[in-house]
Amino acid sequence: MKERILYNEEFEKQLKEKADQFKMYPSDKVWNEVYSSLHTRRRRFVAGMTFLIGGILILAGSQLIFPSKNSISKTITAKNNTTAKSTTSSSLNSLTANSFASNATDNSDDQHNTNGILNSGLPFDLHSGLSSMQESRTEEMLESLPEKIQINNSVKPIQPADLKVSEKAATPLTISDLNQIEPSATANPISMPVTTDLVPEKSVTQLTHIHNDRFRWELYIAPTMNTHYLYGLNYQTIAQSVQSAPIMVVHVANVNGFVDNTPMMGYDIGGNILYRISKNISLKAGLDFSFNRYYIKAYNSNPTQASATLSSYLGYVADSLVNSNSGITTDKNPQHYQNRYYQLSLPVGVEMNVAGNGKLQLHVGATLQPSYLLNTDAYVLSNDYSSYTKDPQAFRRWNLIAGTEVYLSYAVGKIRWEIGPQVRYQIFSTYKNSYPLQENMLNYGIRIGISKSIR
Amino acid sequence: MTEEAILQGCLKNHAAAQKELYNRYSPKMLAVCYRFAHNREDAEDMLQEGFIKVFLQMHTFQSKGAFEGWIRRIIVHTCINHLKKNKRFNESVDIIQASSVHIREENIPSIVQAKQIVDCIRILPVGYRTVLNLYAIEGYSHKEISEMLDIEESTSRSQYTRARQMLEEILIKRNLIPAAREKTDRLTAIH
Repeated sequence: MKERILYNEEFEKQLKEKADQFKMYPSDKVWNEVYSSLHTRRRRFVAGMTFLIGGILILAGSQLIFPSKNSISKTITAKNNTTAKSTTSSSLNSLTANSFASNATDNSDDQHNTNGILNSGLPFDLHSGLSSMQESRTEEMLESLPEKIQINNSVKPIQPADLKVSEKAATPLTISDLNQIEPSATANPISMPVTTDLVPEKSVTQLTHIHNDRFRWELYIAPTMNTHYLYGLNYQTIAQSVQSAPIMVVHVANVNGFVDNTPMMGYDIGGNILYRISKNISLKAGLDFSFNRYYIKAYNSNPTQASATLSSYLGYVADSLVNSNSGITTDKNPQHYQNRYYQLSLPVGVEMNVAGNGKLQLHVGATLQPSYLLNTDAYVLSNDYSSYTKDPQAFRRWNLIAGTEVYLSYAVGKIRWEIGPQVRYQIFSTYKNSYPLQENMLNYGIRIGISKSIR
Repeated sequence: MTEEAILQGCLKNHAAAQKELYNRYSPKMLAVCYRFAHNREDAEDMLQEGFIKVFLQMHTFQSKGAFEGWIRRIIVHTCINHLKKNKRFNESVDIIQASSVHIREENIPSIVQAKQIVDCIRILPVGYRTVLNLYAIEGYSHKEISEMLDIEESTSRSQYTRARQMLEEILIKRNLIPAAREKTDRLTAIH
C-alpha cells in the first residue's frame, strides 16, 4: 500500500476504470475449442467406436467378399502356359492346394519366408520348385491330400510320375539357387507364388493339426439404448372372467398415449464360458449385469393420493395407496425423472460360427437369461395413468430375458476381439401379474468383447 | 440463469451452463488477455486456455470471493504463463533504476475512450506492459509480480515506473492527456 502512495493513485484508478470498460468479443472458434477440450471423452469415444467398427467392417468385407486376395500364400495355382512345351505344364491345367499353409496364423515365420521369396521378384519354375522335394515325400504328400487338391476335370489328374524331378532334386533349393534361375519365358511355363509351406513335413503337420480347445471364455460390454413397452389392462378379459367385478372406469386405450417416456443409454456387462460341441456350434453360459433406464417426463403437482392397485380375481384391491408428487398435470415446468433398473442375469444359450476363417469370423448367438431385479425403487404409473409413484411391491423380482446377438470376431494373437449388435427383450412384465399394467423392457446396443481359448 | 445455477451446472459438466458462463465473462476476459497479448490471435489462445482451466478447476472455487475475480485471476495467470512459454516476456525485460525517473501527476480525461487507453498500453514493450497491467490494472503488488514473473521485486518497480512514464508520453503524444512543458520537451528529444 505504501508503494502505491509513491505514485499518483488517481492515475492508476483511472487507468483501471478505463481498461475495465473495454470489452472484446471472441470468435466462435474459441468456444468450439473450449467445448471440445472439455468434452473430449465423449468425442474420443465416438471417434474410437467409429474407427473400430469401420475397421472391422472393412476387414470383414475384404475377408468375406475377396477371400482369395488375402490367401495368396495358402494357394498354389498353376496355369497352363500355351507357349510352353513342358510336359508338366501341359498336363496340369489347374492345381489348387488350399490346404497348404492352412494355418497361416501359426506360421508367422513361414509367412516371412514366403514374403521373402515373393519379393525377390523371380518367377519360379515348377520343376525347380518341386525339385526341392524328395520324390518319395511328394508322393506321400499327394496321397495324403486327395481331397484337398482340386483338379480341373478337363485335364488329366496330375500323377507323381508326371512331375519330372531333376537330378538336383536331392539338394534343397536355396535363395542363391533361385537367383541363378534365368527369368526366361521358356523356363517359366508356370508362374506361381511358391511358399515354404511346400515343405511336406510342415504341410502334413498343419493338415493334421486339430484344435482341441473346446472351452473359451468371453468378456463383453455393451452400451445400450433402453426402451420399454407398456400394455394397459385388458378390461374385456377381466370382465368375462369376473362377472361380479364392480364396474370401474378402466382405461382401455393404449397406455403409451398417456405417458411421455424417452429412451436412455444404459449398459450391459458380463462374461461367458463357451463350450464347443461341434466345429461351428458352441454352448455358452455366464453372468450378466445390466443397467437399464429411461426418462419419464412428468409435471410436478400438489401431493395427491395416487393408487397403484394390485388386482385380483375378486376385483380391485386398493392395497397400495401412496402419495405422489409427480402427477401428470398441465404444469408448465416438466421434470425428467429416470426409471433405473439393475438386473443380474444368467445367460444360457447357443452360438454359431456362420462364416469366416481362422482370422475373422461371423457369429450369431441366442440366449435365455433368468434375471433378478436388484432394485425396486423405480416409478410406477398409477391405475388412472395420471401419476407416477413408487411401489416396491409392484415389481417382479425374477424375470426372463431373451437375448440375441450377431457379431464379428477378429483374432489378434491369442485374443479374439468381438463387435456386433445385440438385442435383449424382457419376456415377462416388470410388474407382477396382479398389477394392471405390463411393462416389457427392450434394450439394444453394440456389444464389444474379447474371448480366448482355455488351454 | 443465476450465477449459482451456472456454477452448479458447470460442476456437473453441463455444456449449457458452461456456455452461459463463457458468454457472460468472455468479453471482459478477452479484453484482459488482449492487454497482455501481442495480437488478437494470441489473446484468443490465452482466453481459450484460461477458460479450460476455469472449467476444470471449478470445484476449487470457494463462494467466499467474487466469481469474476476468481476467473480473472486464472485468466491473468494463464496470460503470464503464455508469455513465459513463448519467451516473449523474458526477452523484453530490462532493468531500469526507478529512482532516476521523474513521476508526473496526470489525470486521464473522462472523454478518453477505453479502447484508446488499451491501444496505448499495447504499444508498450511487453515487459513494461506486463508489469503495468499487473500492478496498475490487476492490482497485484510488486512482490506478487516478482514471484509471478520470476524477477526481482526492485525490477518490477523499475519496470512499472518506466512503463508508466512511457505510457504518459504516449498518451500525451496522442493528445489523450494534456502535455506539460517538461514532458513535451522530453518527447521531442525522444522522437
